[in-house]
This record gives sequence, C-alpha cells and structure tokens, in this order.
Amino acid sequence: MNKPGKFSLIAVSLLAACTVVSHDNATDTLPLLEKTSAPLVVPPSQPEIVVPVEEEIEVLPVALPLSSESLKKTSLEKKERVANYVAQGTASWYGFAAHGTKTASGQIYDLYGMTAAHASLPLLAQVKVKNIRTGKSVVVTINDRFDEEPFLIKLSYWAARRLGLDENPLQAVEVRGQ
Amino acid sequence: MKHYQVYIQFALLFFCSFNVTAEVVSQETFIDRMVEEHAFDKSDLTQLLNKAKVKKSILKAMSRPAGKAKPWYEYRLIFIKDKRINGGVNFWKENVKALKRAKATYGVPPEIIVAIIGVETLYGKNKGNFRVIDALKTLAFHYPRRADFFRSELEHYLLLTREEKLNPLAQKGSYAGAMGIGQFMPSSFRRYAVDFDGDGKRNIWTNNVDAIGSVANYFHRFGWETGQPVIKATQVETKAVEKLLSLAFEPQYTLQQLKQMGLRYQGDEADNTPSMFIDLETKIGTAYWVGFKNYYVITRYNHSKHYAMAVFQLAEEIANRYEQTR
Repeated sequence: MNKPGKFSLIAVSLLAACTVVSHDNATDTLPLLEKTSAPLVVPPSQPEIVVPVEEEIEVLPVALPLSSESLKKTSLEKKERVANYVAQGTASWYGFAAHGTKTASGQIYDLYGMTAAHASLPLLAQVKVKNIRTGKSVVVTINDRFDEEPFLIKLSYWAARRLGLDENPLQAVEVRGQ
Repeated sequence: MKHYQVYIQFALLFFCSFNVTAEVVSQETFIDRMVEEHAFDKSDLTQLLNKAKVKKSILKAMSRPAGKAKPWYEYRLIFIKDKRINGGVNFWKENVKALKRAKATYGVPPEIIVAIIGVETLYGKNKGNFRVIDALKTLAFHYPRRADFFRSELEHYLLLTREEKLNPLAQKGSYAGAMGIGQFMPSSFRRYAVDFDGDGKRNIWTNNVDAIGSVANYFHRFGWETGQPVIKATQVETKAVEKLLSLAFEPQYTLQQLKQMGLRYQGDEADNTPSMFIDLETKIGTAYWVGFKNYYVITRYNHSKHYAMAVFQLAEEIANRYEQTR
C-alpha cells in the first residue's frame, strides 16, 4: 500500500493551505492617477442619458450617510434610484482586511459582495460600473462612504475582479445610475 | 499513467473500506427482506435486479476525490460563472409563477431554489444518464464503504417506483442514484417531493413546477427561516481561529458564545442567534464567515461548506442580475 504517498499528499495540501498571501490594502499600493481633462460628471442633458419619464429625478449629492439605526427602519428591498447620474474616473477597491467590517449602511462588507463605497450617492443606490476599455460591467449597491482623491468609487474585491481591475488597476470606469 | 490511476483508485477504495464497518448484504438476502417487509414478489424482484447492471464506471466515479479537495476559490469558479448566472435568470423567468407560489407556500426565496437547481443540473440540462437501478445495485452490493446507505436507497427506490407506478428500469439519474431536475435521492423523493402542479404525479424528472415545489418543500422541512440571513462575513481574533474551527459543523452555538471565543462579528443579529463559524480559502487569503440556520439548511442538501456557499453566492448573483433585466 502507498501510505507514505498518501501522507505526503496530505502534507502538500496542508502546506498549500497554509500559504496565505499577505495582502496590503490595495488602495494604498495603487499609484495615483493624473486627473483627466474629461469632466467627471456628465450633465444630465447629454443625449445618451435616457431618463425614463415616470421616474423622479434625485437631486445629487445626498451627502449625509444614514445611520444604521435609520436604515434598519427602511426596507432594504427598496432601492434608491439615481438614474440621472453618470461619471467617469478610476476605481479603488477594498483591501482584504476589510472583510467582515461594518459599512456606513450597517451592512457587513463581504469580499464576494457586489457593493461599493461612494462619496455622495445615496446609500443602497444601485449603479452600473463599466470598465471603459473592456466594456465589462457590473451592478453594485452603494453601501458605504468613501472620499479618497483621485478615486471616483471604491469597489468590493469581487466587483473589481469582475471588471479586470486587479490586472489593470488604472483602467477608467464609468459609473452610471440605475 | 492510466494503470497508475486505476491502481490509486483501487488503493483508495481498499483504504476506505477499513474506515467504516458496513454490513455487506448479498442481493439474495436483500430480496428476501423486500419480500418479507414489503410483500414484493420474489421471482419478479430477482428478475428485475438481474436485469440491472453493475457498472465499473460508477465505482470509479465514486472513488474520485471529492470536490472539497479543491480550494474554495477554484471550486467557486465552477459554479459562479456567467453561463450559470444567466441560465438562472432565464429559468426564473420561465418559471416565475411556480417560484412565486413556492415562496408563498414554503417561504423559500426564488433565487435559492433556482441556484440549487443550477448547481445540481444546470437547470435540468445535466440530470445524469445512468439508470437509477444500475447505480443503486452497483453501490448497494459492490461499494462496501456506503453499502448500508445505498441498500436503503435501493429499497426506497423500489418502493417509490411501485407507489408512483413508474418502470424501475426506465428512470435515469446520476451515478449515485440522484434523480431529476433537483437530484433527489429516492429516500428524499419519498419524504419531500411534492406534486406542485396538481396533475396527480410527482414528476421531478421533466416537470419544472414539481421540481421547484419539491426543492422548496425540502428546504422548508429542514427549517428554512424566511427572511433571515444565510451567511455573513466576519472578523475574528487570529488566536481564536483554531478553537472556532474545531467546533461542530452545525449552528449549535449562539453568536454570544462564538464572540466569547474570539469572534469579532460586527453585524446586528441578536446575541442568541444560532451560528456557526466558516473559513474559506480565497485567492488573497483565508477569509471567515458566520453561517446561520439557513446556511445549515443548505448543507442538508449536500453536506459541504463549499457547496452551501456556492449555492448562496450563485443565488445572490442570479437575484442581482434578474433584477437588472426586469
């Protein structure tokens, strides 16, 4: 019988399991990007932005984060609508250490969640974030606050990966209200 | 190379057979019991089981290393991908009425039911092509490690085909005998399958409505808590990890007890909420979660922490995308 083989296999898998990559907060290690000349916020009158007539247009920015107390009273099912918001810039994303910490909305940050932090968009608003270069897009829920020049938005780890930003952190993104 | 693989598989089989002392019962003894306990006709049943085939490919598939050998971040990629997410959105749209009714009847949200069916059979596309009778005969009489389990499943299968008036030689399933759109084992079929469209048949093979109702009923009967969380990310004191991981894989502790052991959960759930501690290998390190009753209920479908997390995350992705397309 090949018991030694079995044990060495176990040893190898244990070794593999112990290899934990130490990870700094990704936002700290990203080089700063020069500001682009393009306007960060596209005015709502621009032709490609379609605002459905029946929808109320939110006045932006809604700056104050809701306390988690007041959020608990509102249903999380009810999504804020920010259909007239469009902006371009670069994104950062949460570091590994943030997994399991409380966001401004009261929700717990999960590295596999499709969430993001933004300076002013209402909490629980949904936005589509598109990698302008590749065309890949994800829909994330704004559940946290963040204001870190020069970044427009701070994405969850998995949202950033889905956009390919882990490979190309400087690719510009478009954030569009839903 | 081929030889080597076969050797290893046999070695594994051999090795495993020492782990559990299963009662190996011959086909003849099994038939006698079925005659005695359930009034089967001896010559009919003998004929039937002689028509079933022992499949080497089934024994081989059973001895293959399980999916849990893969780290989570690799396991995850198998299930959380566009094809399965979009397939889930389509399945949801095609079965929206049945899913709504399942939610109303059993309290289980559509995305969870859809995700289970997506993980199990890619929405009915991969239901398995083995004859159930072949799979169960093979494993009941030629797979000592779990002979007890599969002999019992064979018994349930013979009873259910009699009860449902199905041809026992005709039903298809996985190499382990799991049947239909939701991959129910025969014992689960008899306990939890429902005729959800009221046509008098529990057809989990080709009827999406029955399959949806059956999955929802399964979750309901195992205690799904409507509107309650499944699993949440958590922080933890490094020195507490080993202790927390040594606990039973069941929500048999309260959040407060886990916190006293060093869990640093920041969510708002009450301190008396039954909870369990879960670790998963991500590509950037080991991350931790707190699983609640509903997470445990998912593991009743398949006893693997990876499976339950894949179902939950697929459900989230499907719900997110379904909402976008409405």
